[in-house]
Amino acid sequence: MARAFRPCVLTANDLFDGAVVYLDPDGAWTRRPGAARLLEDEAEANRRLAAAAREDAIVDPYLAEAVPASDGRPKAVHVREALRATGPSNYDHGKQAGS
Amino acid sequence: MGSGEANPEAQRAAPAPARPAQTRASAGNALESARILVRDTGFEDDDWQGEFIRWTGADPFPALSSAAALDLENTAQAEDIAPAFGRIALIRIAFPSHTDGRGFSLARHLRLLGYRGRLRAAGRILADQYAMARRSGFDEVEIDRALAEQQPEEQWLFRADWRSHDYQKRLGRRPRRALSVAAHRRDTEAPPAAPRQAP
Amino acid sequence: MYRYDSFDRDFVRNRVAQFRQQVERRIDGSLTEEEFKPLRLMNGLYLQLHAYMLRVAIPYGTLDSRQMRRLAHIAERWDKGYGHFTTRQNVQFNWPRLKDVPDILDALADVEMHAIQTSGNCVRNVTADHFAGAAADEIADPRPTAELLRQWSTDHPEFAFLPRKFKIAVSGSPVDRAVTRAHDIGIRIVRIADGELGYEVAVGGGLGRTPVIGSVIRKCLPEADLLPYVESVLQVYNAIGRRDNKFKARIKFTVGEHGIEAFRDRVEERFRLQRKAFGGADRALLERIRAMFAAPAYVQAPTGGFDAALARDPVFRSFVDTNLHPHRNPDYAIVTVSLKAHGATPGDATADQMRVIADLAERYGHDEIRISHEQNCVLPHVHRRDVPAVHAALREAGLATANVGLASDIIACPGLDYCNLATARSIPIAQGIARRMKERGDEREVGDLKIRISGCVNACGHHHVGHIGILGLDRAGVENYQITLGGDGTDTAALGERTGPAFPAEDVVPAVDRLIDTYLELRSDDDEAFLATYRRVGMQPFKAALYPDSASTAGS
Repeated sequence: MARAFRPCVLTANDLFDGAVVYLDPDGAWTRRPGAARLLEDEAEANRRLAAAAREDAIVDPYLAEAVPASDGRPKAVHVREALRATGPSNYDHGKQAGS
Repeated sequence: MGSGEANPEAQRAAPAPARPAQTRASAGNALESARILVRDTGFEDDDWQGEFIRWTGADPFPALSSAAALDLENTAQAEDIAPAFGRIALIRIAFPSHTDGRGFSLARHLRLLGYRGRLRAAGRILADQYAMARRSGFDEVEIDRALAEQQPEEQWLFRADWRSHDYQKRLGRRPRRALSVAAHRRDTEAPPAAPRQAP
Repeated sequence: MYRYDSFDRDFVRNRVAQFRQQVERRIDGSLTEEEFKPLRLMNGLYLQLHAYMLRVAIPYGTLDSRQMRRLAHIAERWDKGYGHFTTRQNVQFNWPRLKDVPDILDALADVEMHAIQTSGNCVRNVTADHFAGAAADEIADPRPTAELLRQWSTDHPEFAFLPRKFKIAVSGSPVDRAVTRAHDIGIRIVRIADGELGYEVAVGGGLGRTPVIGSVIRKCLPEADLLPYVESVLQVYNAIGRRDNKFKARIKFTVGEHGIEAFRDRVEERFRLQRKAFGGADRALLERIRAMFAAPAYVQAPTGGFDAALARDPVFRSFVDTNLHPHRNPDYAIVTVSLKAHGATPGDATADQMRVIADLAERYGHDEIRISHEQNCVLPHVHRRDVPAVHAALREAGLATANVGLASDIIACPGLDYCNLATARSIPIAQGIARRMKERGDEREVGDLKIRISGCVNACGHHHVGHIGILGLDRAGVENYQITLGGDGTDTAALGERTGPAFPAEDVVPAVDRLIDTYLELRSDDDEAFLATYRRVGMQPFKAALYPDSASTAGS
């Protein structure tokens, strides 16, 4: 049985440097997890995903479950997504270094 | 020991980008006008006018004449076909996906068993696999028009230098110098299976 | 060591040119990601969690100072100043940009290196004993065989699109330091008769989610038959290996499903044909390769400085205790440089550290460096009189950690901090255990203890063969760790046994702590190692220490 839909963000990796990107409310790709759009409608999420799969400048798009944090921004549910949103835990070489 | 690339993306079932419909080699006749042959000199129209007989494992030999062409899935057993080599002008091996390399070993096996006729790889093959096909014993590659448009002639010509930079050649591994079936029979305990029915 | 001739050089340059063209076609859209992916994988380029990752082959773990310096240069120019040495004797760069990769590959080609076939469903980098050519117990150097296999497998036309990846390891000693029985093909050099050498060939070993110890398919393969035989194994696997389920696609499942006897029959049948297809050029090449692996011109000099330092300096003494191994030349030693400083990321080396190791190899080590599958560097030929100087230089660079073979010499895969496949992090667990060992201060007393951590069931961290194995799993989005005991990757190979329920991340270090306490209480004397104690007393006391509150566990 398919799992019930949960709110999510649309995420992928950038073709040129592999960086983690998210779809933002304007339909553009952002590198800032806090600027991602929380998709709460299943049909909309799937439509966005299908469109992203045809884009050439990003790789392997998928929907990642997220919840709104206290400030309303999307927050990762899974540890994997939390790490993608910050960077590796042994060095500050990921997003935690830049922003 | 594991150290493979993660591919959880695939498991997440992201929809694949829109792709041209695959042309199965065995459906060749219906798409004849769409067939393009790739040779060392580039693209050509298919010059094979005869029929392709599909090998199903059942006995196709009565239907074979000296001008016959045989269509093989990449799961075929080369030994089963060996007794009819002399009556086959062309063998076409299907490549259902560019990630399925069985056709390369099948070609090599046919050559080792003594097949000297024309050998063709057909289906989902990338330009980057052209050298592999040639070195495995294929004479030519057949693709459909959609694939040819996506991977134009110059990308195939770029790999037409398949004879150079070949470690197997350096190691003295003979790619095409097929051993004759007779020699094979003499030297092995288990000769190739006889045809199930006299031709 | 092996030197490229013009053939190898042209081959590698040509491959870089091909890949450069493929990258351009990917960027201009004529290749889709689906089509580009197998091509980039054939050139060692992965897409990981945060970035691309380039895996560079270090064939059979051997490199010289020039090559090591080039790795340092790449780390600084195109990455973030470090490289990660893996359990397959490769080095990984975690942050390259797609468009820079052809330039990196050209920089590698300058020093006779490449990233070819370090991923994808092809024959991967051939690994070998990291003490090859130096170990006192060696029958023959496995590297000429490994180099022959490298050349044979490179760009092999039939085997670039196998059902799954394929790994070959070669060992030349009775003590198997290359974990050959955990490989798709494991080759051990054996004496056949009258000084004649041959190969014992095992197939179908592997770790991963279904660990299997390989089965011997040929006890004594004559040396001349190696390539046709291995090629036959691959052809049979290519034809009948499963392609419908990637979790059942490795050759261990093929051998398991058909049985070793039936598999052997198919291979032998193919071998009769294959054997005639090789004309002897392979044997001539092997002889040429062998000449390039001749022993270095050993220095004859007194070793007095070594003994004096040993008597004088307790820090040097403990370094010698753990980080030196017997060399075939009694005036020499094999020096292991630990990349496992307590709290560091296992296998990582900065560009500066790489240069220090390169300088030492050049000055004191006949210009040879090895990478071990235990993720350390090795200087295989150091005259004993020079060991104090080497030690002093390592100390200055923070590379003199005297813990080889001890509890903090942990193998850990990159885990969920980097890897797209991982289900949990490995690095923080390894860091935590090593720091705890330093706090305890009894690591030397504890002695030989191999802790191995994998961040998913694919087992890149070799947890199945760790005396203590730790496997990170994902439980509903949260990291969770299973512990196994009693694994062994050597010639007495065994797979670890699960202790019981998994632990949350914060409980793993205390659990390892309790396992070590239990061992210290139970060992018969100071010389009984962890694995020996475990084999003598069994799982029960360790289980009781791990799960003190669980009466039912204690009884089961």
